[in-house]
Amino acid sequence: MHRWGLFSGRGTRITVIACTLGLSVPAMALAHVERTSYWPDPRPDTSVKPAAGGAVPKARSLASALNKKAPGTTRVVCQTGSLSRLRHSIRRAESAGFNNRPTEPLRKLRKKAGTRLLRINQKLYKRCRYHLIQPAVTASHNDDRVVIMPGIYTEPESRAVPAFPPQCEKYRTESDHGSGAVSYAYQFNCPNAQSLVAVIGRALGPGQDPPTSPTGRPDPHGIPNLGGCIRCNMQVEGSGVDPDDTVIDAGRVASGNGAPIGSKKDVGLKADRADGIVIRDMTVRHAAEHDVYILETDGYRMARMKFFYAGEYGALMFTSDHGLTDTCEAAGNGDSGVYPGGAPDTGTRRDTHYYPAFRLNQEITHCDSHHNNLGYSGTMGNATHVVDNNFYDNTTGIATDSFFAGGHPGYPQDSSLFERNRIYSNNFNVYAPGSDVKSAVPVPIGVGILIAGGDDDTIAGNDIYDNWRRGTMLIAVPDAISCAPNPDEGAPPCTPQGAATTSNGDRYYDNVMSRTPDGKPMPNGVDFWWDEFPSNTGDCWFRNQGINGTTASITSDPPPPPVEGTSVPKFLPEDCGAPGDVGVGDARKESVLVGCVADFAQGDYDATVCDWFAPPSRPAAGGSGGGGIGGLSLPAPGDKVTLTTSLCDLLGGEGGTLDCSPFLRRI
Amino acid sequence: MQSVPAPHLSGLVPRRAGRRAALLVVVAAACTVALASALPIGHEHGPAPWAPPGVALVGGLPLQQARCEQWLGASQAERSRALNALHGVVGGPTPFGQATALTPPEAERLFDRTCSNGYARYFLLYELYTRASGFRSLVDPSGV
Repeated sequence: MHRWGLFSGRGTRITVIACTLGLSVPAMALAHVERTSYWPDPRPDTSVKPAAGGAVPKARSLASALNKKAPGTTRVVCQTGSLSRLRHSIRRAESAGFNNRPTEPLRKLRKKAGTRLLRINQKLYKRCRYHLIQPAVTASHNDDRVVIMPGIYTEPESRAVPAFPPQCEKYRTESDHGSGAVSYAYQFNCPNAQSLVAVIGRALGPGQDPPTSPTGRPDPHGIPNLGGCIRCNMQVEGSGVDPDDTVIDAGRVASGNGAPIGSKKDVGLKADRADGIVIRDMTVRHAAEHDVYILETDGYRMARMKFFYAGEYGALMFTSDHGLTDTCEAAGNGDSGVYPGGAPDTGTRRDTHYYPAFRLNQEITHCDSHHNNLGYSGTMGNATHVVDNNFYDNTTGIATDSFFAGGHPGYPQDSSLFERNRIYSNNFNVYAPGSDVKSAVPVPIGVGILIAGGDDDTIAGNDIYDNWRRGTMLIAVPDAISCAPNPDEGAPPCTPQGAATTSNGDRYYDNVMSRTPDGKPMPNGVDFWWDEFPSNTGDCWFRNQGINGTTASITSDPPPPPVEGTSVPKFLPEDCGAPGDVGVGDARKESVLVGCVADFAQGDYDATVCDWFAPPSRPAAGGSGGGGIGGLSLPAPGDKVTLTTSLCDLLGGEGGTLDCSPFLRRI
Repeated sequence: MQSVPAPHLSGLVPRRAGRRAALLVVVAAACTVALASALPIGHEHGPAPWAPPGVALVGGLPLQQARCEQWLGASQAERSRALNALHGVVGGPTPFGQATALTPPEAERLFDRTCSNGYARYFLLYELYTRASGFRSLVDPSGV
């Protein structure tokens, strides 16, 4: 150390002064209120060539980064140990194999491929001019690339930026999310106040943003006052064998890919209005909020990515269009692994002037989302396509909802397609003492797919098994918008377009329930559960197979209809659109839902009615309703139920799926 | 592993500048170590940060990240400010009218009751709030 003069007179002064300045930086405040967000114009922006947006962008090969004639400039980021880290990874991949996600079989890297990858990286290394990612991104323009060589990147310069830089306060605005929102101008001028790495895709617009406030916002179709492309069609990528080689860490490096997260920044990697961006071959972890955050972006592709242990979302794609997330792993996230929220209304509720044809606007495929609070969630996750993924070992596998009506454009959630996924063993007790994941959102333990206020969603061709409470749940969200009479002065009546009620027109078909793909029985607590909310119509379940491969072996609450293929009130509808396909209400179910999601009244119900937060016991073959707390099991189906208290009766404990488990210890 | 400079950067700049750069890098590294040891791991144990006007902090964290554990440790002034902010944040406009929001007293009861449960320690306040708002009319109004 002395050799470097650090402790000589001048060096000491430099160190002390610099450290004093550093320590005077306020501790991380870490948060923001999001700005009013808009859906980008879905048409390609032809002001740049190639055009930006309008479609999922294509990825450029790593080798092409060395081609100086290729469009754009490549900036290489590296560390001292990048090549040795790569060599180690190549050796491991050649001998033991590698994969991009846990359920992918290990495959060995061929010698020839390993040698080629090393040579490409050796050439990249010679071109390396950056050891931090953000300066390389900041220096980039349209069509440029940032190649990040193997290493763990903590971005000390970004970490040193305070969460609330005083000089940036003038860029705060009002928004429909509340006062003090962080505007696009804020992100443009202060990109690292919240984010470790920020890709700011567009210039500031020439005019003024339209006024917005908590009580009024402009139409969400199209981003107003949009500036021109400055970093559109960018590609940011790792150059290793797999996503483990290049790591962006927003928190505690010593935790590896686990907890504690020790966040230093809200967001790990943010792409803001970065149309046409490609992000691939990296791990991002330990952000206080979201590991990767894509906002107001038309055209994005994420490939071979890992999202570990964020406080909220592993990957948040908000008000973005033409997106693809292909091949990923998400684990340890406090809210959900992946979250395409506030997505454009390109489904059945679309404005046909803006979106002429029905279109699924974002796809998530080949992802393993496990050991999260939720594997997938999407408040106002409209018209998303979730296909061929694995959701397992989460507290709840998939949830999509309409809860945050005032904060996310696109209410109510609608038109998503969940198909050919494997949704299993979602029984992770995130609430247990010592859990390494901190649950940010109350969700029930042991549920495969929960729709809380969604219209026209399709759940088809999935394998849904071993979810100990319920395979699927469909509940209405009755009050997401205000209804008169209301204590809030000026609240309008909730009549327009019947939007006051949610969970209509959802279809469940061709799913295999309570059996593994290879035919092994692994029952759900109950396969299908519906709250039968009054006036809900068009929800139906048909052509599904139960534990023994037949339609008749499906378990459900309400029960299947007396005659297959019909819809009769108080039974699970199977004939979509028939007059009898309507919810008639169930006070006992609603009492539980209120206990679980609206426990604020000091009324006469028992706050412990909700048992969502206690782990259900493993169901017996055929489904038992997923009851019990800890080691206490409810009687098997067919056994005489002797738990009879007034509360248990209230819950419909005898023979129903509303178990009496909260009261077992008191009976 | 911390980020370190590219190994051949010194070859791209004049020798003296390279030494200065190296010195600065070492200083920066030393500061990083010092900062890492001085600052808390994670934000949950940090001192209350400075926040600009208009940003409601709860137990030192803004609403976006405030959880039950912050609610339990918050002052009454922080709680009141957060409740009012939530009413404005969640009760935003929709194409069909204003979104439902709890009154501050309702929300205070919600947080007091829910946050008293151990499993709820890390629930985000705004998430609890939005869910309760969605089921508002089903709750016995006598308790409101």
